[in-house]
Amino acid sequence: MIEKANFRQFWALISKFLKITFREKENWFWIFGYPLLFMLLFSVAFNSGNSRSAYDVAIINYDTNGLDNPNVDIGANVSLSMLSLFDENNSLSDSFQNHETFENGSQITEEAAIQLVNEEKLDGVIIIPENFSEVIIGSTWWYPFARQGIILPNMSGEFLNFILELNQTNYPVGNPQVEIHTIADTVTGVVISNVLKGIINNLILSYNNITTLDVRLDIGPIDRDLTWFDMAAPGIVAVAVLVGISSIGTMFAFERSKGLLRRLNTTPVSRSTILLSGGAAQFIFSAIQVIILFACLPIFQVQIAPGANWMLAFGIVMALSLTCIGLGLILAGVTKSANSAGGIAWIFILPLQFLGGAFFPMDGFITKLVPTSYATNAIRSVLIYGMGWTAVWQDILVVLGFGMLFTIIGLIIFNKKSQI
Amino acid sequence: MDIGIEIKNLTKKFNGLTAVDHINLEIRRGHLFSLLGPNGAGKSTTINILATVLKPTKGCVSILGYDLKTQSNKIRELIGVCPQETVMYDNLSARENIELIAKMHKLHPKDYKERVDDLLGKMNLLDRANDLVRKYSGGMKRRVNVLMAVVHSPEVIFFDEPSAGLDPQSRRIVWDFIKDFEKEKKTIILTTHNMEEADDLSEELAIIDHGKIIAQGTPQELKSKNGKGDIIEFRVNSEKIKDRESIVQELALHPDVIWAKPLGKERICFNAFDGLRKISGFYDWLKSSSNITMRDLVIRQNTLEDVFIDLTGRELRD
Repeated sequence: MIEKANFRQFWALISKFLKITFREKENWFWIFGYPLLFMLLFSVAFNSGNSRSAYDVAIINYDTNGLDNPNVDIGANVSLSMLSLFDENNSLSDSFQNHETFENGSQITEEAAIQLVNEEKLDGVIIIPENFSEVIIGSTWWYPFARQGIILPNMSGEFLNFILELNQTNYPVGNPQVEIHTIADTVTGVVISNVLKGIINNLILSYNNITTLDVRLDIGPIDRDLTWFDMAAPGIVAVAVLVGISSIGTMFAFERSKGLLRRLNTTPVSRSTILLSGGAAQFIFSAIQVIILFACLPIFQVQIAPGANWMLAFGIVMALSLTCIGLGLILAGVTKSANSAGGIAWIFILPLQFLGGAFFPMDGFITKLVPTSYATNAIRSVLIYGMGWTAVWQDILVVLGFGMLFTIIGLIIFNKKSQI
Repeated sequence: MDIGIEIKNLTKKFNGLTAVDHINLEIRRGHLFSLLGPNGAGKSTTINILATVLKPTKGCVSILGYDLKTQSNKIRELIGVCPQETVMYDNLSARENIELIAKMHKLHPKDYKERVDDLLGKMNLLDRANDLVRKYSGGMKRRVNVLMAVVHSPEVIFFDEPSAGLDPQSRRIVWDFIKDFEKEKKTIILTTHNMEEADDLSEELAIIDHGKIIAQGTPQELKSKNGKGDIIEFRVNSEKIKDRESIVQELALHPDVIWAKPLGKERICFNAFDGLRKISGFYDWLKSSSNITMRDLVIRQNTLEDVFIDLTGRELRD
């Protein structure tokens, strides 16, 4: 149990950070003005008139034999489920339904579709590979049981028939690969790939949580005309808290250069308490910034899903804020002056901004190492797609894991220093 | 003798440069001990080691019976440190800065509120206690710096050049304040390169140069053994002027006198270690041996500066 006196030390240091920050009027810009300016700039650049809300897209589905017997149930064929989800997406309804489009009386081919994209008569082509359904089903937690014919307690009815079809099959495990060709317009590419990514993620999630084959029940309807700004806004919120890395790093570097940390270190307060109190103060600043940014989202006409869980979204951004604080604490341990801390902070901030898929879709191994990508996905799922805790808890855990790891590394560096 | 601080073979090296070189000291509990030396002599490094800010390269330190290496947390509860620079938060008031240190020492508000007011009053800062210290003059900041070191009433207080850069009035306030703590029987370690400060405040001092202790004792002891000694001038009564040369010769033979010479038309000047303290002895001796009355006495006392020059061949401020 934390002693009352230790808590008084901790709170005194937090209170000190808050006082000295708020008493410096320049800091008001970073706390209140920066998020507003950030959102305003992105809104002016990418919202209202600069984005389109509907795209013409052809879908070439090679996954027509998803299971040995696709006629058992339409739900057995994952790609068909996905196509029906496209149909439900009003913002894309003018185009995504083109999976059934025929040209001159015959089904459109991949080559013909790509030609249309090159001629800018189509915005994009989505190519679903042959083994798409197999990969998604093969990667579910319940597939190993199903292929051995093991019936789990909650498997019954329609699902049971489906399971029986999987007996003795040998589906691959991995991430489903979908090919996209789009016109040379980044914003169009971002919107199409983000919508597709969101739908596939939802699909995977639905199959993993399967108790019924009606996957559509688990998917939040995307019935609004989404723009690139709508897709990017959650990322903008996430990116805004990254500035905390620089703030906390420069805050400690300044105190070190002035001998203030050394002075505190001659008192009975522990180095960990000094460091964590700085982190806690930054957490409060970040919370204020996030609240401002959230208030800005409707003002800047970001299309939030009806009934979106704001508290959950807030929790996700604050989890990312913990990661930033952890990185800031590492920075605090390795830099000596406020200037160098401010500069070195960008070594952390830039990759987190651009490799996390906040503004542009990013895939691949490197993205998995970037906490912003998990946070951005999760906030987008909650605020734009209207999804809940079950859809994002894994992302939150990963972000919190990064936060804990970085904080522990920061504490070790700070405590190991011969002189702070 | 009750030892407050015991230092054995203390050594500190920075990248091969020896800042503190095998220092051995025993500092009495409840006394004021000064480390006197020029800039870069190793005073602040020594203080920083004792204040647990720096780790020694070699050697042992015990403060009030607690080992510095293994019980530094306990030591931090007992010490107060006034660093050489004014180290405080510019965007906090004097009161907030002082109270912050009290809170770091886990004091309850009821235990420090009254004391903070009292301390601020002693330093003539009570009227502006709630102003942000960024609006303070350098002298006022120095005084806050001192108060931050003593708010929790520590048993051992380290003052690193506490009056550096202060105007004479502020310096006097700080010195009186430190003397008050001496009366409370706190163990005080003070570093200074100001001989007047060392002489005025210290009960005992060590002269440190190039990281080594080169002399130790009370100011009086050091001045009586080293330096140029005290210079004493007096006028010879008119009826004895004719005997002035013989009196000079007689004085020069006195065991405590280094040299003696006539000065001007009717004065004699002589040099003696600890001359000030022994002045009545000289007076009586001249009276009885030569029937001379020392008149219009002028004494230039031997200073710690002289002691330092004698020991190192350099001035303190070199």
